[in-house]
Amino acid sequence: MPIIQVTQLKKAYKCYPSPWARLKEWLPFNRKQYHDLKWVLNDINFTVEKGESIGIIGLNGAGKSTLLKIITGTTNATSGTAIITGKIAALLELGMGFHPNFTGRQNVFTAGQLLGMSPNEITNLMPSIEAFAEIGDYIDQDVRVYSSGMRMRLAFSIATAKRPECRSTGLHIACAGCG
Amino acid sequence: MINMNRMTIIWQYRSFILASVRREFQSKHQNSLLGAIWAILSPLAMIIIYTVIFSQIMKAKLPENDSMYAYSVYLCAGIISWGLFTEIITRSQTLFLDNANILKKLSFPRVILPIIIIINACLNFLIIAFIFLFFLLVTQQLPGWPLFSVIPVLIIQLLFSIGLGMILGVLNVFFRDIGQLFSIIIQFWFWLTPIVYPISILPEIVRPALMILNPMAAIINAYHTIFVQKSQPDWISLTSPLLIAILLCIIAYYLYIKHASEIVDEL
Repeated sequence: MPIIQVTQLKKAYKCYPSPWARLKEWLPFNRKQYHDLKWVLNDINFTVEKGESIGIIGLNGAGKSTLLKIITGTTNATSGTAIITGKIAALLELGMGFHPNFTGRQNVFTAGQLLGMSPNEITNLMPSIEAFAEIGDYIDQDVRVYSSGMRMRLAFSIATAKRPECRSTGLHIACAGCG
Repeated sequence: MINMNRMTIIWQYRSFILASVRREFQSKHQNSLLGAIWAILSPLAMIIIYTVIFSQIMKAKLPENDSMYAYSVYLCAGIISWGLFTEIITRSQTLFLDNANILKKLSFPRVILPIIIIINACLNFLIIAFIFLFFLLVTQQLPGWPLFSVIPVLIIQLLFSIGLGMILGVLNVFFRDIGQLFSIIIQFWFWLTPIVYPISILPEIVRPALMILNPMAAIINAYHTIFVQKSQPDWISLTSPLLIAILLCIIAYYLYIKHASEIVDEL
């Protein structure tokens, strides 16, 4: 049983020549289409088994992030399916939901919950997050005083604190240099 | 079944909702010496100014009420509840734009975003409302039992505001003109609602039409009845706002469902 099964996945973005065209299309009883479809993903098929690591390589604007977004459920496919069994953790961008005026610890809670963890879980994971981030006493200071490296380390610790069945990672993570 | 699921999802995210509410409240008052006291001082100033100017200096009185404080109670009840309405509308109008970052990159139940707006607005409203009630207590103007009729009126108002706000929020993603346009409309709307002036100054023929066509007129009129006349509001006049509110919420729901994925693509 594959963990991710992507079949005939297609994604198109709507392109309107002008904002007025969209308004015309939204008017009731309108039958005519005024937009062009810009296909970014066309007939994608693949499966990922448990324990497998897969890299998606392509030029800028090739649709790599779009594919990941469809798999993680932030955006919908135009047609085709992406079936995911188990829990999926999206690592599209680090530090999502961080607020500069709150302490690292507070931000771990809000960011962790946005990633779908429960407060209890976060409390349990807190020691390991703190240990992995290696930022010492800074954990109880406002994130706005962090260096960008510290911010990255903390964000990465939250994102990797839990072991999901499947993790989808955006490419630009690799150059964050948070090892 | 779907609704049960939704409720459990909201429940799972309860601490995120509370944290967001607290965060918003804190970030408004952080780095100021007096902190949350400012949340009390500005509405207090408003009430004092209106009372002093209208009851002491201008000696303004409502046509059918002799009480010295009647007009300032009338004014405050209207303006405070109108403030709640505009806060929800303006916040939900830009709901998707403000949260573009997390909407594009994380998958979480979107329904928690309007919930955060409502809780936040209600929190601010409660602070002002308590000061208002305190003012009523001091001036011995408390309405007594009819005070509890505020709760159903408030629920109708919240439904109406969030329904309308979410419709505007979805439309605003695609047509940014909506936000601009509505900031003008809301000014006209304020003066088309008997908040500053009593409804009795309007011609007899206009009144029933206004009550049916402008849900806020009926809602604010209900508050006026409770606080100024100290009696139960005319519940029948609130059926039209209630129906409009439910209708708006249904439209908002389907509008959102229809365009949910396009919203993420458009942001």
